[in-house]
Amino acid sequence: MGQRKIFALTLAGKRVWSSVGDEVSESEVSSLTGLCTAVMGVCEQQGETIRSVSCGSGRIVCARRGELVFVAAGSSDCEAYLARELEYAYEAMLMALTSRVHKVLASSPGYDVKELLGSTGTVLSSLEAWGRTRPEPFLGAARAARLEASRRAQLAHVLASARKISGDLLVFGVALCGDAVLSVLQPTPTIERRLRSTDLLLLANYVRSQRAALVAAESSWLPLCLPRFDERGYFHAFVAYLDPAVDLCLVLVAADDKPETFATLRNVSKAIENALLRDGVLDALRDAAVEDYRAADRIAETAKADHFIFSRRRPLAAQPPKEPRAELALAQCLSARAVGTHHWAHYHALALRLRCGSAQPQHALATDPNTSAHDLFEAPLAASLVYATSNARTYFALTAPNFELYATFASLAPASDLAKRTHHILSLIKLEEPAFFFDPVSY
Amino acid sequence: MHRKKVLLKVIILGDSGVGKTALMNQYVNKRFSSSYKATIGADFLTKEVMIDDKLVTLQIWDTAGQERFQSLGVAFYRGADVCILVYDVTNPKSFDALDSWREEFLVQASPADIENFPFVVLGNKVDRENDRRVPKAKAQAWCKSKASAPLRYFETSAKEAVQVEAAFQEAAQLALAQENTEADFLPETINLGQPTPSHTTKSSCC
Ligand SMILES: Nc1nc2c(ncn2[C@@H]2O[C@H](COP(=O)(O)OP(=O)(O)OP(=O)(O)O)[C@@H](O)[C@H]2O)c(=O)[nH]1
Ligand SMILES: [Mg+2]
Repeated sequence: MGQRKIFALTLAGKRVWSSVGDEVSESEVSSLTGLCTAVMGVCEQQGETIRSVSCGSGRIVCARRGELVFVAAGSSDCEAYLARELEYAYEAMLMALTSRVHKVLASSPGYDVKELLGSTGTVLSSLEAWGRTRPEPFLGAARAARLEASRRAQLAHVLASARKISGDLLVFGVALCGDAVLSVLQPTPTIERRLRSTDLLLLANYVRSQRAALVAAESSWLPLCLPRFDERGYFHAFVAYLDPAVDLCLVLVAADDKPETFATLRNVSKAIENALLRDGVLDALRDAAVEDYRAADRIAETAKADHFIFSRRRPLAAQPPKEPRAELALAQCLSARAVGTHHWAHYHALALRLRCGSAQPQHALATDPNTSAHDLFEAPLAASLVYATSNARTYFALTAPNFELYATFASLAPASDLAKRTHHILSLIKLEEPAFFFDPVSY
Repeated sequence: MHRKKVLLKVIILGDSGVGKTALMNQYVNKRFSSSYKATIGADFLTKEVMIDDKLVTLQIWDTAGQERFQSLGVAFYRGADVCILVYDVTNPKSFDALDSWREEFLVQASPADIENFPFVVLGNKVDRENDRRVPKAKAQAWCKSKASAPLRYFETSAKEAVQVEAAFQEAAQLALAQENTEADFLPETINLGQPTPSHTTKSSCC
């Protein structure tokens, strides 16, 4: 069955969206959708839920979400990976349609959601393309754009005053550089209500996938749902590219779509732009855009790593009084430029082992045929560590309550050496932490 | 509003042995076999057809008439665009059963507009005219009684390919022409005062 394909279907078996686009004819897709309808029908009849079907070397993973069914078919990917891809596809769809889509389908099961989705299909396609090569979906974290700490503070200040200028209309403010996040303005997070990193990365993907239209429009006013925040309704986002040359983009989110709100946000956007120009922040942001991956690449080079990805939930240099509760913090990630894609499959395998390992370490050790005793050991920290070797490379994963690190080393070094190099990466990140990551501005 | 539907879901229902599988095979594969093999669960075939200059794909579901083989349940009725009801002109019992097939379908498929959901009724095996036991007029009367506009009726023979093409073409046409009477998708703005749905709090930390 070759390359992985993702489909979103209605319970009636109609295609809402697929990663293969329209070049695959409806009749080719029909056999897969028909099969899914049949298999799910049998399972439903037995009161069971189907999660995946194996056929030869291929695998089909299904997930039912309300009135929708998400199906991933692939030959080389593990179930957990495909399942997560489906979850993202579902959430990207909610971002465009809200959970109301279920109501419409429940009352008329034959409803053609494809039509409803319209051009936002490209949002899903772009997300799907991301899934392969980018750390954000893998780590469940938004990518932070690098910016000097003092500039970051200026930007934060500008966003905080934007909230005031807006007369409290502004709910969220996100400054993006390409698809990386420079800063975020948000309501003070609580356990019940908070901006999630998934919503933030979906937003970054959304903006990126609609870039051409957004740049052409100068400013846009879009209904947009943040599914993890609340999947039931739309926010309305004012999106403006301040500097298309370096993809500097401002997303100002309000909770209503009144024309006055639009007008207010347009003024706020203008005010932000002026403040940034005046303080020279815009120039610094332009440099940041150019800098992009370079700093992370330098770290990889210094620590003799081929590649690494890192995500952080809380500052490494913890500041106890200020430190937010880990679950309230926005996960942010950092990544060295990838050469090739070989490491992804290994990172996925390591992530899976870490997940299984925390539940049943002995079991994972005993049944994973690729694992021999020597390449699985516990770190002497409150962290979990796994590594694997393949083709003269060592793949390494370290997860702790406040961070995750995955790295590739071009050697078969002994474990103690790997630990040292990993620590090296961590200490280098820590040195530049205020530049690599942002503290959301909460009001 | 005329919506563009590229995949049309067609469901064929009727008693065991009336010729549902034979009709589908004749229509899709232009083949007929006189041996009988009961359909187990359900089966589907796909066929592309041109309707009014539009290329549409029919996903045709052939179901089991025998109750003990209806293992697939009724999940696949959902979202059907048209339903073909089949009886055997030589078998009055199969004709009497049409009522319950139709009702079962309407309950399970729960289409938006029950009154106007398109059905096509087929009296099959007309090549055995000598054995006919259901008069054409009786079938037509039944079709008239079911809706404000009479249900479309065809007398077919899967064996000799009589009216098979026409019947499916009509079914596809009806499915396509079915107007979108469902509620429109109205975007709703978020209500920040509303309590958070419980699932959001439970889901993972990112
Ligand atoms: N003479 C004649 N025989 C037919 C015709 N259509 C079907 N048959 C025969 O009738 C028998 C039953 O046909 P099927 O198509 O298998 O019946 P079915 O409705 O699919 O039955 P189930 O799968 O049990 O629900 C077979 O032996 C067919 O060859 C027809 O038009 N004329
Ligand atoms: Mg049959």
